[in-house]
Amino acid sequence: MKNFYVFSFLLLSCFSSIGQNYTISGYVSEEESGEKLIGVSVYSTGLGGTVTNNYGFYSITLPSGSDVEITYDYVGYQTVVKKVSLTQNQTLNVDLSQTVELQEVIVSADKQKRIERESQMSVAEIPISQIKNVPALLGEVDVLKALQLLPGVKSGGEGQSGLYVRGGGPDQNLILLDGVPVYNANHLFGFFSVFNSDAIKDVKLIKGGFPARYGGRLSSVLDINLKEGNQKKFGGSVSLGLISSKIMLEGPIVKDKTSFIISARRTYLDVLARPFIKKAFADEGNEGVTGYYFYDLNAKINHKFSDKDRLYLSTYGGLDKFYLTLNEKATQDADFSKNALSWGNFTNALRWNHVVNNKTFVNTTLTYSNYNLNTDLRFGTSNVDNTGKNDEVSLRYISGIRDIGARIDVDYVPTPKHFIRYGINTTKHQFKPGTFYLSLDNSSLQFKDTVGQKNVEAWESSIFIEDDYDFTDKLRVNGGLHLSAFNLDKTSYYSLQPRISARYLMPKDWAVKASFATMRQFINLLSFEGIGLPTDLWVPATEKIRPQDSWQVAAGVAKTISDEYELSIEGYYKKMKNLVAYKDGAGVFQSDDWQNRVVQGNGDAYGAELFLQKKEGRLSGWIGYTLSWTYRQFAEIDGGQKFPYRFDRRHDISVVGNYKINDKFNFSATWVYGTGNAVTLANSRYNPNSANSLFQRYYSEIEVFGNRNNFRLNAYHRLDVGFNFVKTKGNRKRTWSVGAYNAYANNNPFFIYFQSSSTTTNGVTEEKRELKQAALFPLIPYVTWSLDF
Amino acid sequence: MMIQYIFNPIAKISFVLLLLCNIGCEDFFDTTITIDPPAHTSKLVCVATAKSGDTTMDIRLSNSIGILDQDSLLKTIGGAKFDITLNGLPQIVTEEKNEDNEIYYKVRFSKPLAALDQLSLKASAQGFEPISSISRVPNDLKFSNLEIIIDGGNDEFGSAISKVRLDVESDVDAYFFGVKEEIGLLCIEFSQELGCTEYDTIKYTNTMSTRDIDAVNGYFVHQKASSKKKSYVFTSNRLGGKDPKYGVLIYDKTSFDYIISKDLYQDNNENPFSTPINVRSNIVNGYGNIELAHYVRLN
Repeated sequence: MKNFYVFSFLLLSCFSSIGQNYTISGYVSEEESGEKLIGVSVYSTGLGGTVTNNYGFYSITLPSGSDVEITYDYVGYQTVVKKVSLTQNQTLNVDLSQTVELQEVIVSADKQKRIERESQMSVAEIPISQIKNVPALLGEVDVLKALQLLPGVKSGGEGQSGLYVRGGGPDQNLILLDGVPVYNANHLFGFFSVFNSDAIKDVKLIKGGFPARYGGRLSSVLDINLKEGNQKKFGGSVSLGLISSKIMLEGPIVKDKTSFIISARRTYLDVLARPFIKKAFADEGNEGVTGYYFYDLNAKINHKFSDKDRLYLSTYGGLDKFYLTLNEKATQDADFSKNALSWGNFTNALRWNHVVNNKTFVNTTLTYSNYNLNTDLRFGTSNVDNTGKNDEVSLRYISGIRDIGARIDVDYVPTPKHFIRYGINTTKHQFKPGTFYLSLDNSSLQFKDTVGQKNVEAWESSIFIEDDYDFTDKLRVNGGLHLSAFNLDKTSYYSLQPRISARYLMPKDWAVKASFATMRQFINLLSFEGIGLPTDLWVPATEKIRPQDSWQVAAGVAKTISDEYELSIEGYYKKMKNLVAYKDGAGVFQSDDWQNRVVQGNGDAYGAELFLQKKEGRLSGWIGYTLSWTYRQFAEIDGGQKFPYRFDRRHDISVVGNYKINDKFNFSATWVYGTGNAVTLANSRYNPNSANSLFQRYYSEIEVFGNRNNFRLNAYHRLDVGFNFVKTKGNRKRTWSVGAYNAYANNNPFFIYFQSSSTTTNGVTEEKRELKQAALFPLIPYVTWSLDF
Repeated sequence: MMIQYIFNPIAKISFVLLLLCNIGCEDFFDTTITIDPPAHTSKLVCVATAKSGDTTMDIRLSNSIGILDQDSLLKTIGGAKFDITLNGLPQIVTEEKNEDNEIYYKVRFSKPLAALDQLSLKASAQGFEPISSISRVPNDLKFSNLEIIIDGGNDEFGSAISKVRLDVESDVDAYFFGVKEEIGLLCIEFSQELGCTEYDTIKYTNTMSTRDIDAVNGYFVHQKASSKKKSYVFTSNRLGGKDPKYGVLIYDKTSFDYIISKDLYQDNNENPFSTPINVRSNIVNGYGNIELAHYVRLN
């Protein structure tokens, strides 16, 4: 840490002698709520510009001696121009107000944050307002499902929230909620994500060309920032849906100084169905209840001590739970069982923003994250032989991961040509790779045993530095280094990861971009492809299991067309090493060492993506197209042959549109198409027994699978439509949303299975075996009601 | 009037829901369709086992069927032509029938099988692509020290065990070997119920193992060997009585992979959480395995 401060001092000294310049710095906020705005363009025409960071802070240094106009520009907000006399360093906080709805936005021609001006590529940002308008399964607005509609991003399967980015696996995404890693982002086996859109301010997905500040995953970074809470007035929203309801409250505790936001969501099918379920059990002569629910809760409080110091405390808690309780109605020897399966995340972040000086912003964060899966099965017999004693067997299975971390990030903007970030980060992981607790208690035997693996602790640390640097008016480069270390028992791994991305401005506002990034991942998810099961297990790199590595190169062009449409076309190639997969026949719920159940191998992915996006205006949305290939190769699978990854989808198309007809009515639609997933399917079978098998083990027929993922499911395509009816009265806005998921009821493949049947005609029975493809969702209509106040 | 109706929110919602529900007629909610499986060509399946000292080997030749075909199409194949050589010398093959009236083929070796014997098999039958296989009886396992402790104490379940210790001289990575207790037919008859096989305990060395397999049920116990470690201790539950007889059973890698993958397939057949298992084979253009083992009695 001492070296970190020395380094900071030296870096600041390097730029301290630069010319006679003055620095304007401050925060940019939303006028109505005081919410800090991320990524606002702040520039002075001809002199350079910058953008606000994740906390709304900006710093721009300009030559002294004259009056300049500084423009603050942000999509969806009215542009503000401030006249500043450059005679001294100044703090200038600016509020932006939202544009009047229905007005086509007039976008400044010199906008700093245009896609072609940014050095970073392979980034997708969807305004949360747009995400909320995307028609959703059962009306549950879902950030992850909206991101699946982007080129280069694929879902795990019908209705699933998992992300598969540029041929990577679901464990290769660094999902950050206010800077805290979230390990299981799914509710209900992946059908809904844990992120409540009412509490989210900003969503950014990085698929390649990773800046040096990010690390620890191979394929993507999903950076989700929660709202801070309205600084000006009390407000909130209530939403009633088919499966869940939400409430969000926010407001000032001390106006313009301290604010809070709290949002909660819970499903209630279990509550509604409970009387019917109880009756069904009672009809069978039992007492019992079964059900499922999930809930999540986000809360955040922030306090402004001064213009230089702000403190944020945010927390997230969520839980999914299945339960089944059954008691036989009898006075003695009555069977009973009580079973529950629950899993959930709990994350906390304590963040201190400190403005050191006009050019330096420091963010210090302490984080805590915990993910647990808990399976609890209890069954037995009560009042055995009328003795008043119970026989009971209890089995628990617990797994999970817990992180405690600290990080310091420094933003240093010495001149408009440089945006330097550096920082240090350390995390203590505790892996809980699966333990069974067995207990047996009856009149003749008491037995307790614990089987499984011990908790493992590991330290993961990193330092980074990056600079977003304008070499010339045309060439901008973001270069950096990320050094990471992982220590577990006596095993240590170190990795130096260079990152660079650049853009070069071409005539007619075209930009050519290229990037190269290496990544290392020290933790692995043991998972069954395509299904976001809570049983998925996070495990560390060990002496035997090496960390995953990747490098990715990407190149493309970008342009803003007619000040409204952002176009990007990119090609990429990604090489992955030391990927982890289950061996043949291995799986979860085994008590042996997980290291014996996995193999390591390589993968590669390449393709091209087209993305045309319109963020604002009456008509907004995007068109995305991906052409891609992705393969895996393991020495112990398929005899070492390369095979297609399950999500090797040749073509992927998404069209998303939202049209605001008037203040009261808007219409949205989504259409997606994807080549079918690759799955492993047997194509023949045979009898493996010997000629005289009397004294040998008898084997049933063996199915021949051929190569891994040898069969393509049917192509996936779906149309979703949604209508929003809005009524505004004073400060209240009421919205009815109706729509349909899979509007033309296409039978999209979810799984395939063999079905046997027999028919008897004229006394002759004919057996028939068929291969069936089952879809999960036919046309699913939805209706939700919400009230903003 | 009509316009007012359309822009009344409740009416609009009702209209849209009605529209959606009307679209969603009964067929729309049928979510299962029939699809075609991957193409399949029926192949010959050849299964045979023999070990050193044997003078005959029985071969079961059958067909594979498509994944949707009925079981009744699985048949043994008669009238096949075999060309089998042992160390280059042609061997006699005759077509026979077993107690279930199923066709099989008996090979009568010109000499008892011994270590390093090479068996070449070619077979053809009408309607199938010819198959071939080359397999070899593994070499002797050379050991410098052998120690058999009949009263080796009790296992964790309280059953008496014996121990056999082998100090192996050969390059163990070339072998997949284990100690077999000669438990005879008595145990084999019980084996269907008890789950034990003719191998009581066997340890192997390889780097291509599939997973640990439960020793209690009589299958293989995984122990990864390092090139430095050449001393192995095997335990046996002494199912053969007070005077157990032991021998070393040695497989080549192909046969070992076949046995392991076949057992693993069976053990995971009904497990929805298991990844697919491809059973290995040493039959070119077909399925099955010619499984030759070398057996050396220890006491």
